[in-house]
Amino acid sequence: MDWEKLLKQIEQAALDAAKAGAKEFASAAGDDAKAFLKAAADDLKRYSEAYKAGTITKGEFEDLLQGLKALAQMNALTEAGLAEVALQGIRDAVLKAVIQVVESAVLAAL
Amino acid sequence: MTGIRHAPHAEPQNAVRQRRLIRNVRAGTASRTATLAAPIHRHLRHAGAQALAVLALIGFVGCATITAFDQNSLTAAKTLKEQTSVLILAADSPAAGHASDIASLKRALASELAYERGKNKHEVNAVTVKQWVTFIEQVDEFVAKWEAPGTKFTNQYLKEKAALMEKMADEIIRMESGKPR
Repeated sequence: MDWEKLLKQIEQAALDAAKAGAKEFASAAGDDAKAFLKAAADDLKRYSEAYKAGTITKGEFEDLLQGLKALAQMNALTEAGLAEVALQGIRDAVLKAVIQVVESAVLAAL
Repeated sequence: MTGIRHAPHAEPQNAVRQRRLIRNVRAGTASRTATLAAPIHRHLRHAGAQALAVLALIGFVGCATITAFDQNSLTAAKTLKEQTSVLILAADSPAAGHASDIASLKRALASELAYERGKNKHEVNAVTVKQWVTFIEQVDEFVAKWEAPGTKFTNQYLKEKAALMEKMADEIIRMESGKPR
């Protein structure tokens, strides 16, 4: 068995799997962030208008702003968690790719 | 010496080198051991480093860093989202009339937090735990204001607050739904 060649194949397979996973995750995370910011901006506008119109009090307005801040923190936590899940997925894909290369090489050598 | 000459990595690649080596040794310009061993050692060092990198990668891959999806957690999050929203919308009347509902929600939230903390060995459920802590803090603050004497919320605020708490619960639901299955 040509170990040099096999190790190079493993390296390439791992790199390809990691690149594919990272690209997919970056695209999804970007879309989520945009959607959250738009929704938060809409909420903020609505709260401000309700306060100006007198349909909510100053204390309630401040409480909603605090709530919006807490929501942003929770969204950031979700994104961080989903990034961890994606990373775990990428690592699993890398392992699978490495195993496939080794398996093929071993079968070819038999 | 014989062992090195018959090493599987060295023999096919070193046929030309061996002939040169014999000439050099006969001429007294090279040490046979050093000349044969150096490329083998270089090759083994290189292959060894690569093999170690692959093993490290496989070891790294093998460690789960986040808990798996849990249907109980998802169901609890959906139920608590609804319970919280219903309770907030009921805050247009004094808290005293809703004491049992408030106590029931607080108990359910504390129970859920304990459940999630129970899965947090090695910080693998840290995100969900932090989300529940934030959510519960918001509920506690709301209830404290509601229970304060003379509090009267506007209907618009209650609708907005309920919607905001639903969005927070949705973040917990999104996180749980995104966990590996």
